[in-house]
Amino acid sequence: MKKIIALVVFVIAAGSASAQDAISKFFNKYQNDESFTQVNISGKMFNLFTNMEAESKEDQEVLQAISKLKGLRILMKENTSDAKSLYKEAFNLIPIKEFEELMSVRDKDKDMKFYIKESSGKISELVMVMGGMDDFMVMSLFGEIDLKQVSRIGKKMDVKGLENLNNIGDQKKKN
Amino acid sequence: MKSVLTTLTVIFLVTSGVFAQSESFHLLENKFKGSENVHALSLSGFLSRIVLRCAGEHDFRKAVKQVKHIRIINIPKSAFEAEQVTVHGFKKVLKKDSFEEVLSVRDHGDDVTLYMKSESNRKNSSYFLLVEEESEVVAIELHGYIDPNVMLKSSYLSSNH
Repeated sequence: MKKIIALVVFVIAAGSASAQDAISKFFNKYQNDESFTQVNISGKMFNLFTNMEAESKEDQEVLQAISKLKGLRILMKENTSDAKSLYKEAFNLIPIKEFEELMSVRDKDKDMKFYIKESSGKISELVMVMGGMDDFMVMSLFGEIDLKQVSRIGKKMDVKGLENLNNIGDQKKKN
Repeated sequence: MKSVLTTLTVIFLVTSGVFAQSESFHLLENKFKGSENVHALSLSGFLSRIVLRCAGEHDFRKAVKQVKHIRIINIPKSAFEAEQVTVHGFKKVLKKDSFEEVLSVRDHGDDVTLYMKSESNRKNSSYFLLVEEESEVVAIELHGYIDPNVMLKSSYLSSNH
């Protein structure tokens, strides 16, 4: 009987673990490391945007997109010498196989990759991994994601990197 | 002059009474009453905005422009140890008191968590900001309304200096 209970507990735990966002493993590894900065925004925050009045049609679209989000997590380390190794490690810990690469950006001082998880035509998670000379950042946005609005949401929050997704929604439609 | 002071006192007392403190804040106040270096402050939103204007905290003043009342308590970590209680335990009290976590930021060992209790009239919501630093804990309770745009922006900005 004890074994059955243990098995049930294990199955439930495994199920809830797989339901976590992609960067949970990464977060769990570094959650007690004070050199990292963590931001965690819950669905409650995004819910506050439901039924908010907007000044323009464009703002209304952004508010609607925000209200469908379920959470945002950011883990970053600035002014560090191990930014490159963290960037590599991220790809080992994040279950990239479950995602589709959306876009990658490389410039002289940083690499940036965007991944999405899509099912039945809906995007449920967007992951951004950024590694520079001395900065590292991984971000996971989950919920019902409207790619066209993500760069605007990023602008609203001043999240660096998301502006790269400008027009990506239109590009994806064409493909 | 006397009548101005009386009017201000009456306004302050009336506004203090209208917005009753939450169970969570009440618990903190009672638990640490008389402890060394514990400071508590209760201000009407109007007075808070005047103080913030004088202090040059214009962004914070804008953020609380629709806040009706603010309570602040500053508790040294040593007082938590003396009372044999933890911040983690207090977070459970907040949840029991119907506060939901809205956002959290951990930056260089400082932990900032914002909780919220929504009311049917959202202009009367309660917010609880818990700041855990190396040597002290600051709890701020706000009644009224804070624009979610301001909260969303400040969550990332606070971690991005």
